Amino acid sequence: MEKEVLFDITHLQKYFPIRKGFLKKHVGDVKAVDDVSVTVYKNETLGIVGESGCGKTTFGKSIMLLDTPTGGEVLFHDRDGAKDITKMNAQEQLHFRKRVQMVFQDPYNALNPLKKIIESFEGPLKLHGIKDKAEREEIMREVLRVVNTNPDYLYRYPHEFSGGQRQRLCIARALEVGPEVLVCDEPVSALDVSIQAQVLNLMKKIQRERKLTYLFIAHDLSVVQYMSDRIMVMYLGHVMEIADSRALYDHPAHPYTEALLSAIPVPVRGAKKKRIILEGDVASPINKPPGCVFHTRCRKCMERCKQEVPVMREIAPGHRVACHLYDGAETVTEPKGEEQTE
Amino acid sequence: MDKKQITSSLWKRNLRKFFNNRLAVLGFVIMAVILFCCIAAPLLTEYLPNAINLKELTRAPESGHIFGTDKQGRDVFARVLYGGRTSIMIGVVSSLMGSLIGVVLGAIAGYFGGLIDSLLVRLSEIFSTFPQLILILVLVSIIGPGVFSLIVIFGVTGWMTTFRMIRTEFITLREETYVQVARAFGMSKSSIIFSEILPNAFSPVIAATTINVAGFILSEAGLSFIGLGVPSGTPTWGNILNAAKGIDVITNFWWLWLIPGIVLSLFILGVNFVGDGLRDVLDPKQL
Amino acid sequence: MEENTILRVRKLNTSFKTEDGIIPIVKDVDFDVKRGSILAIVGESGCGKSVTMNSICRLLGKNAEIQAEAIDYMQQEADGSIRTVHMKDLTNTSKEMRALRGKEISMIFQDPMSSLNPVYKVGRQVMEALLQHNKMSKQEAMARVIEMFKQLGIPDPENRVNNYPFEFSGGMKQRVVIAIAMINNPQLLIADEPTTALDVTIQAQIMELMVRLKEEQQKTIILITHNMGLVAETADEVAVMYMGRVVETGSADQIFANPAHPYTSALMQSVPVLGAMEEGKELATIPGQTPNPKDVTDGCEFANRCDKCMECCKTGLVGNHEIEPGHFVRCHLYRKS
Repeated sequence: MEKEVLFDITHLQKYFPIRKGFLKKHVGDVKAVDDVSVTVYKNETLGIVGESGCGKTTFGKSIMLLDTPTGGEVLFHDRDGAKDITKMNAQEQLHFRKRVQMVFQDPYNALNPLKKIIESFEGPLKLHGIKDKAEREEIMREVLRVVNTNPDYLYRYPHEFSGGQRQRLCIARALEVGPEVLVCDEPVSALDVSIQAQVLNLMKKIQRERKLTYLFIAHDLSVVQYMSDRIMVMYLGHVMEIADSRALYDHPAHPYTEALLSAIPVPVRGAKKKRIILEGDVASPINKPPGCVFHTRCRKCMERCKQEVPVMREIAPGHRVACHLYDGAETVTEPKGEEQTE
Repeated sequence: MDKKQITSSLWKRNLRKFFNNRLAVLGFVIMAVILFCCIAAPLLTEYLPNAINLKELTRAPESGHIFGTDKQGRDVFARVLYGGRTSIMIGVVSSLMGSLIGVVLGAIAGYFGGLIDSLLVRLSEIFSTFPQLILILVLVSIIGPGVFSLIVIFGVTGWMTTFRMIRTEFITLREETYVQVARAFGMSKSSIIFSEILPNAFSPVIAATTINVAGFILSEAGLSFIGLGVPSGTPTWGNILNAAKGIDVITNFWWLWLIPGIVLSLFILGVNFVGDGLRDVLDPKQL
Repeated sequence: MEENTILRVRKLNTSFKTEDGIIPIVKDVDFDVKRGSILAIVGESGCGKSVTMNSICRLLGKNAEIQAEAIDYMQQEADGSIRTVHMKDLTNTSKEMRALRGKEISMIFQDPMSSLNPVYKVGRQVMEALLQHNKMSKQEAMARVIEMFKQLGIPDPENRVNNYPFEFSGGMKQRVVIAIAMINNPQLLIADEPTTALDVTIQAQIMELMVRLKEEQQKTIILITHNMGLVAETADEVAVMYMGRVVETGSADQIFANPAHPYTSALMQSVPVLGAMEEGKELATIPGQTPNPKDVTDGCEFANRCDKCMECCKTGLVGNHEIEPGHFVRCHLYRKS
């Protein structure tokens, strides 16, 4: 099956300026996302994984235009051609938001505590042009049915619900406007273990039924692997490796991916594998190390790594890695999304 | 389940919480009784506050004049009630005005941040550090004394607390997930500010506005006492106490200062109790 | 009683007085901890695992009521003899209790950020814990602190002691918290979700450190966690808790080879296992929500979410059955008819 491109992201960059003093002088940048290039295909789940501060949340927010990117290009492919989301006008943006929605990490704060569920649900519908009250009601009941939730919940306040129920409500609200893409930022990490599985399975079911595309952001590689077709590993605002979910687990190419995989505790007794303990901590996103951003903690660090930023290379079909260990492989600097559409 | 019952649950809970707070209820009763008496003044006394009766000068409280009369024979009870109207009005209106200014500026500073925030914060600091009395003297000399100018002065000099509160709330609340959600749906800045953030930031303001009412009534009394407030022709609690300047009044005519003083203090106390109670009840973090 | 038990808890009950009446949070909890082992207490939020530990260390507020048949701590004296301290007879603030806390039993909490005082240098904070239980000069104490930092793998300890908490990363802060807990050389370390706030690679560092403390210094560790992976990799013994009750106990090998309680097995199957998920296979789920402790009524607490629920589960107490030596399950499925 030919894969249809949905997002074409090239050299995405998001810096947060640090300003000091009364006149807010620019004294530096938090380089949350430095250089991310990736293609998102229709109907797939792209998992984005990394530790805190790797820029995965900022990446998600940049895609949603909650944080305006400071560089790069995010092409969104629509029926009427591709458009850079950073250059959209207000009308186009509103339309974009109808097609791309987000589920947030913290279900406890994602519903306005002073509003009944129905009030939180109606706002977006009104905004997106559904003027008829009966029609709105119909949509709200439908999305609540999709997330297996009682329609009577509409008339209650958020504090009456548990975390799992709230996250269902949040997913339902995101679905209201009929999006094709859901950016999910750690959707289950605030939930209890037994509830996580419920929500994950629900999200899979919704994806099947509604043919959604997911950008699934999480720190827990086991969860990401369960959900995703492809996984992108990030570290300090850079992409380390992109591969099919299975390939990433079976043949991790980047030393960071290896360490990340080995650090995850597996709930199987005696499954103890050789653990790679990473020394030290993540470097500061304000003063990043030169060369490869991971070289300060890398056990395979070479002289080159300290000076030269490695480029993305394709080491197997669909398997890209940014590491000097693979300098011999074919070089791919730009994702080839553009050519795959007609 | 009954929809109506669920709908009102938030209000009901707040009311119940308020009524469980005995001090707040006591304050509310005191406040309500005094307020009611002031509004219903013509029904409670046949005397007019400024009617001079030279036959009945400085009478001690008796059956005809339950609070006695002052040096010009005016009925103190009537004066306290009619004066209360003006004083409470000044307190309430100035406090609302101050809060309005504070809310608007605080919301702008907190939501947008950056340079505009720095400027507004500096402005509020200037207003808070500049001695209020001097500012009042300047303003009184420009626009002249009177009820209206007093309200303007209080409003203009009394917005900084609310400003700081709203600004801090906005800075915290604009990062809340439900605000992000609203932005992700493409909601406009104004509906985010007014419909998503402001209601959640408002409870401390309600409490502070209530307590400010008390503060402004006291300020009015103080300013009128030293003659900078409302002209002595209009009875206010401050003007009534102003008449009690002088040692002979304090030693000989206790009812001229003690009774209005007690009424004023009771009202202030009541307002403060209610304000404190509201602060506890409306705390959204206790949901 | 076994020779090498360090802590023995029998019929521990903790309830809280609230607006809605008295709510039992911990119910009839029994367990033994073997000296020099890691006991993992596993459960989801609200299952009472932290309250159990705080009840033992008496760190709960005034609205908590603690009852127990026994909370015995076997203190090893300098000459090697064992003295039993009956902790349930001690009051919260008694001298003996205070001597026990910190010196014999130490706790590490979830959030390293709030466990440290931001306005004091970390070295001083560790030193104060030391000086509380020991008479020594400040120079001596600081030398001990630096030694401890070195042991815990904090680089450049001589200079790092003079830093403030904000100058440390999350993982390093948690090491400082562990240093505070370890500085008085306690025998029993209670770690309440010590790595939940940390990244996985940092979690791996901290867990390795904990295992090393057990193996090299024969410390006893009670690890409170919700992460089955951590349990599988570090624990010797496991106690699974649900809604205030220990539903299953046994050695880690037993529990993972034969998870007997429906809750334990459901919990294990509901977490995705890295690399072990078959394509297209769904996770098993536990239906329903974790109940609010105040809504829990008669019968087995798990009955309404259990796929093996029988009529008898809905009322009365559920017995504790030994299904293999040392492996206990609180479930009617294992009742000997």
